[in-house]
Amino acid sequence: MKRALLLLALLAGPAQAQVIGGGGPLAIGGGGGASIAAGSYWFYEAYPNVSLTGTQSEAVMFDVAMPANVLGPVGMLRITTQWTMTNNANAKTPRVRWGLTANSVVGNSIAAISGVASVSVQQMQSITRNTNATGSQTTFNVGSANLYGTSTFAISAETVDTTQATHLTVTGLLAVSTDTLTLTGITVEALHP
Amino acid sequence: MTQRLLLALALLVGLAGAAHAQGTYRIYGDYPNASLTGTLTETNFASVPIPANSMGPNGLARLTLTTNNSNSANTKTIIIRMGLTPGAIGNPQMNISTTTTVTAQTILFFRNHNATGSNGVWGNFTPYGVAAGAENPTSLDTTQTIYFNIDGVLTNTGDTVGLYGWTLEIITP
Repeated sequence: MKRALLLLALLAGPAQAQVIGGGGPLAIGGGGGASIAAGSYWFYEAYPNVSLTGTQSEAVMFDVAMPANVLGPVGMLRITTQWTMTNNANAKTPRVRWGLTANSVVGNSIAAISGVASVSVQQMQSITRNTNATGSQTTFNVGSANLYGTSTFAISAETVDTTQATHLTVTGLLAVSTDTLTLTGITVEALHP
Repeated sequence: MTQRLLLALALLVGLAGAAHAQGTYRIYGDYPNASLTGTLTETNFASVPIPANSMGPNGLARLTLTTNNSNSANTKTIIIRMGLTPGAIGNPQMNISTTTTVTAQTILFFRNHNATGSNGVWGNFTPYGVAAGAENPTSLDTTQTIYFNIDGVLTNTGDTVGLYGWTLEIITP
């Protein structure tokens, strides 16, 4: 009861839009820092605007460090990225990998669209779920731009230990090295019920 | 004010199921990995509660779910019903009908319309984009607990349909 009264007192005040947090990585409800508690929403947002060109090897473009326990056993990880690219027939592959190592091009591929061509912008989203275990995940329709809908692909399986700090590494791959692929924005949401 | 809001949100974590408070964001989820085969009877996989008074007059409940099915020409359907009772019951608000695919994922949006008892559901399987159909009008009393009932039904007992996982976000401005 005291807590409810304190809550009401805290929420009292002049009406205004609800602005939560001060920017950068932050957890709502479970505290920030090195480990995230249940009942929290951890998010990250950046506009790196970083470009890849001059190579035909998969290359690291950006890395996001996530705290330990960011998901819990039934949590959901939702990643949204926005890209621009040279508009021509050559394939470009934007990708997000996930693992324990920073800036790695060999982590689990949980968001990717292979062979994007003849477009100038791309926005993609992925959803990865812990499967009633902190070290087992599934992701829907990796490799396709169609996140919501049906798929002929089985869900992909990952085994990332989410009780540890993990990294999302955004990479790019060009079929022709003179093309350019640019990661403009990235939003990461980790829901830990 | 920011610090005050953060402290208020931290307090709300300990008030699960408590009355509506402005500026809250609630998260629920599960990965039941349940499946149905061998029967043509509609079967409930999960009943996901929206706690009483958690939405307020302008709240949004966003249900994201990932499903699976056997790949055949027969129709396999995930039905999302809503109502005051858990189980394979309530008015259908979204059907995910599949045949020759193996997985599906979508979002169901349930919004209050400036009132706790007037609402609507974006029932299109494609959550973003244009659609010919209108929002499904509903008049569910969100001062009571409302359930998303996620069911499966087959047209051939040799097929399989299942629910991997769901996540519910309740946004209360």
